[in-house]
Amino acid sequence: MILTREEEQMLNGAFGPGVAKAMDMIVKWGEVYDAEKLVEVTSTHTLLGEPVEWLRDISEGAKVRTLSTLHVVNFDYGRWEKQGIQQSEAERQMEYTRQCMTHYESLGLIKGFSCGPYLIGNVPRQGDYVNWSGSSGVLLANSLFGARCPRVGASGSLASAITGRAPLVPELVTANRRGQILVEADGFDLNSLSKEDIGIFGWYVGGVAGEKICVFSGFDRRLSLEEVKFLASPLGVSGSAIMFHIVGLTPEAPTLQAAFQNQKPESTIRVGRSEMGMAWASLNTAGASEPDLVTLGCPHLSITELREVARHLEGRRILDSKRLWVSCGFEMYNLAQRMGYIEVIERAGGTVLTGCCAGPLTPWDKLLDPVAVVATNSTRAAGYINMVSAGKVKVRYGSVEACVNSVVTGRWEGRERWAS
Amino acid sequence: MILSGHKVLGGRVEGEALVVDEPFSFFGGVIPETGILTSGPCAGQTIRDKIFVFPRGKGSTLAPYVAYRGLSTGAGPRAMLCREVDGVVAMVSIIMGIPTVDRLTPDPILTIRSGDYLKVDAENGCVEIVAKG
Repeated sequence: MILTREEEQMLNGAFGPGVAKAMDMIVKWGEVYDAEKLVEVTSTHTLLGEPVEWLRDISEGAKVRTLSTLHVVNFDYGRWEKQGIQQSEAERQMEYTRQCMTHYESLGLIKGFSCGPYLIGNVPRQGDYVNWSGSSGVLLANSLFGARCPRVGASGSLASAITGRAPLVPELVTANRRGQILVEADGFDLNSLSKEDIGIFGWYVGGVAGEKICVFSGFDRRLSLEEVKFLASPLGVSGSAIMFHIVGLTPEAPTLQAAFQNQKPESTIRVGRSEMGMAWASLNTAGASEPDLVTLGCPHLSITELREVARHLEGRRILDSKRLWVSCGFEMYNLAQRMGYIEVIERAGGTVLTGCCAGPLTPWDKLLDPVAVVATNSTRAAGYINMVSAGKVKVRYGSVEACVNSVVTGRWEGRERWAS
Repeated sequence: MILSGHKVLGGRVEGEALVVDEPFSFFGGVIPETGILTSGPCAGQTIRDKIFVFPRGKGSTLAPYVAYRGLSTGAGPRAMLCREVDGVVAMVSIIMGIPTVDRLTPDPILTIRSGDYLKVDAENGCVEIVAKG
């Protein structure tokens, strides 16, 4: 592998022990794929959960060289009592994070605490090399923003933050970013799908496509940020893809031919009503049981989504026996507060959580008041909750309206378009 | 019998094989402090001090941080052999310093059985089945 003079110096310790340790990881990672050189990385997004002594060593004498945002924590550190987290679990987690925080601060990591770095100013440009962890962000970085982001363990993203480098691994090279699978709707119009229906569609496709690069054609309109998020975010849960193409929207896919780089698709996935029904059923593990708790905000809500939630709660009241979590980053919270949405949600009895995950990483087994059934409009959250709770927490999946109504009226009245 | 492949991370070790015939994640697939597998046909068995053979990685990118917990208790495998490592398994190997080889021929999943005694020369991408288990 060819290293520049500066990269050699980083490796040899001229920039301090932390940089040397990080560069050693970058070089070893590159050697796995026989990478010819390193590339400059402009943006990183890193997960919490580092072993403290490892974090201490890699931080020693180091400052980040990229725009580097931090991912979410497991529950709201400012509202854990209101969220109903057991005190011992809350204190254990917060103490661990306090130990890490010293190192985050000395490195200069941005305390974003959001799973949507693109909502808090970490917005890559087309062609940028970035190294994000968190599969939904990675998918959007590659497929919506046209940046080039690898699949790597979380330690690799922090090493890129510290060195400003990543090896030129295969997934960063144009020829390997070619679409592999053509995805088509069969028997329904893609343009008739709500964003939650798009989530079901993405959940099904991810399960079949695995790590392959899918090409979605057939959307006549330009999808909104929220719709792309709903399509993308399940692909890294039911599958393990790091990118996909939406023809006409993904920068690398202005046309169908461009998406496949003028080659033929390896295969085609046809999604019919029965496939949508199967995917819907696999997410809805609660049967006809009424939800105890609704969680909205996986990935973190945009201001548009916060407005949607507030509109459904205007002048209404959540039943005392029910709970509503609405999850976003600190910046969207401030914006929503200025817009009056937070007041509407809280007056109705909802809890707005900031800086944390409300779904996949929630310590469901450490709640003071256990939850049997969760409702959500996110297939990513639904899939993860089913998985990590090992069936102890059941899920209902539906629109924001269905979710909100269920905690206001106590009855689930979703429009089950895909139920058989 | 000798299998030859591609170095992920160098090192020479020997030990008994444990073969899992499905994609694996250190996040959820194992109790890192003990090395005990949580699911699949080998659930209940430990990867501690084994040459751990599995086809490929899957799932969360948190895996390296979770796997690292096995370092202090010595519950990690001595080496890993895969059909093909992804960037997550590669980072597990790097952060823990576990010799790892991939792209082996013949196919390690079909050739190696749990209990076989292996010599691994990861630097040269070389695996020898010394004794059948």
